[in-house]
Amino acid sequence: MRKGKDTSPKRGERNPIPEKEIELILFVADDEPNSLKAKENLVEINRHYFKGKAKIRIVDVMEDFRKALENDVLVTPCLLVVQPPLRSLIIGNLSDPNQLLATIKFKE
Amino acid sequence: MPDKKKTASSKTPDSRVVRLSKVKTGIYGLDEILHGGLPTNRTTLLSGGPGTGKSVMALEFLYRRALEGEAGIYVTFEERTEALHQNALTFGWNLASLEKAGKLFIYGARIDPKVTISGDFDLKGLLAILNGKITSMKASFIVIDALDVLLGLFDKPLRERNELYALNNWLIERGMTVVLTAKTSADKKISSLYDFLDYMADCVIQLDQHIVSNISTKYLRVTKYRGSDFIHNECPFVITEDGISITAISRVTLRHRPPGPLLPSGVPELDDLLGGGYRRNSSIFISGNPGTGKTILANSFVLAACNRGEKVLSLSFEESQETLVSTMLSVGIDLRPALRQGRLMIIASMPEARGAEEHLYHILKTINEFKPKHIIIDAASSCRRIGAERIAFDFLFRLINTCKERDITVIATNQTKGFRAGQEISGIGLSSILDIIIFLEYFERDEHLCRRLLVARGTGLKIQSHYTEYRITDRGIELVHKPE
Repeated sequence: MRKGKDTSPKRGERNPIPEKEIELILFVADDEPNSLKAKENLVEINRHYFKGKAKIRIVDVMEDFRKALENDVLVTPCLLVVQPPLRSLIIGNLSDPNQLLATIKFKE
Repeated sequence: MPDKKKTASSKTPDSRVVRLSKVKTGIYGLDEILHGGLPTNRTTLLSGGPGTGKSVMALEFLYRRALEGEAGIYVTFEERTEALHQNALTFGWNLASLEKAGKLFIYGARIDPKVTISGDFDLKGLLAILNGKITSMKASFIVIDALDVLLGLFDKPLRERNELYALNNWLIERGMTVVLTAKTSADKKISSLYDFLDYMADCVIQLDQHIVSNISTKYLRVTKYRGSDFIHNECPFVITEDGISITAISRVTLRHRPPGPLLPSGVPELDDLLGGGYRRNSSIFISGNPGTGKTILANSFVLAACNRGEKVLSLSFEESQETLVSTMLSVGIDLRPALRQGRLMIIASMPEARGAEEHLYHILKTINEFKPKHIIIDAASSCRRIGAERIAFDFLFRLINTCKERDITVIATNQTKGFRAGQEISGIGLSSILDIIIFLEYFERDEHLCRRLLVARGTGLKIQSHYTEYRITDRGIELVHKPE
């Protein structure tokens, strides 16, 4: 039997979220500096922590205000966590990745 | 398109006349205080403690404009959209149909106070939403309610101000007329945000709540209005079942209509003493101890007026309608036909039941709907029970003023105590707007208690000012000695 990556919980450790089950939407405002930073930071977080496997969608509120309205996105940049199904918002340019990681309870 | 704009001019330092364009709020009494309305394409701030009526005022403004076909957006960070709709329904405002017609957009934006913050951010999301809606609705007005909650996201005061400034600028450049509401703490602690808001806004209206004699009354005061004159006084207002109502004393009491032709008082010999009768639109004050027949005299006029087909509104603060009708019946004054025919309306209420503002509001509303030619206030003296003496006086003064502006004759009775006390008048200021004053008194003769009356004042009338004895019979008031 071929063994894949062992994702079973180790003794004393909480069950980590598999990277490919992370789905995020980043709301940005065009080329605004914080939004650009958020994009960069998110790409980096995805690469470093999620091995590039997280599903990320970028929504520009300037072009699609209705999506912002649906999700109560009043500030940008703003990250919406779709999977795991928390529907929580993280606002800011993501200069500190720990906020996101703690929110989705990600363990390396 | 109806002309909704009123302009006021103000002179700039180099004497050019700059026209300030205004938009009517449609809120009863407010446009008069603002000398026309709110400034178009500028920012107005409504500030005050919780429960002072800021959100209702802002919403009513948008609602009334939407009724005129002008679209507006209401964003609140404090209430849920459903709650707003429900509140509006209690005023009879159908927001849903206006929203469907694209004239209103109500947005209760959720702000999670525990939202996770990771790095810097700004209000572009809100801007994008507003921009989208303004464009699609062609909106002209925007209300941002509970601005302080939104700005609380930013932890530094400087950041708060910058974001606010940017947001406000953007809205103004977009051509919007902006109304912001913000909570100030009850002790009016000056926070730097409030200072800045005050500075930034062109028009600032402060809302407040006082408790006087156990009755809570709301007040508003315009503290600033760049480029325009306005009424500076603190004005009481009330939130009624239709919305907000402000009944400020009119600025110019000279708007009284001139007294009209002579009307019978209902007691023929009294008309002779009066030089013909009461003048239409005048104010008549009947003062005397209990039992002297003030109510009878007032209702003699009522009967005569109703028989002429004229409508009378009778405000009874002393007796119920049934008691009044039966008491009058016992002296030969039958009010029942007039009641049946709808010529006479009796409103009996306890003075302490509501605050002066609410009383005034309901009376004015009835005046607007029923359109009486004459009003009876029985008794003006019991209005003291509405609240403090000052409040009662204020209430009567405004009511009588309103009647004089609208061609309505007013008869007010006044109860006094003590022997020869019939000559008091409650409140010096009232005296200035009373045209006719009649005193009813007891006096002793041969160990009998008799009654006499004196026409002490009759502005615009050729009165005979001497005591005349009268009796109360089953045919009403009858004067005993015929005057010359």
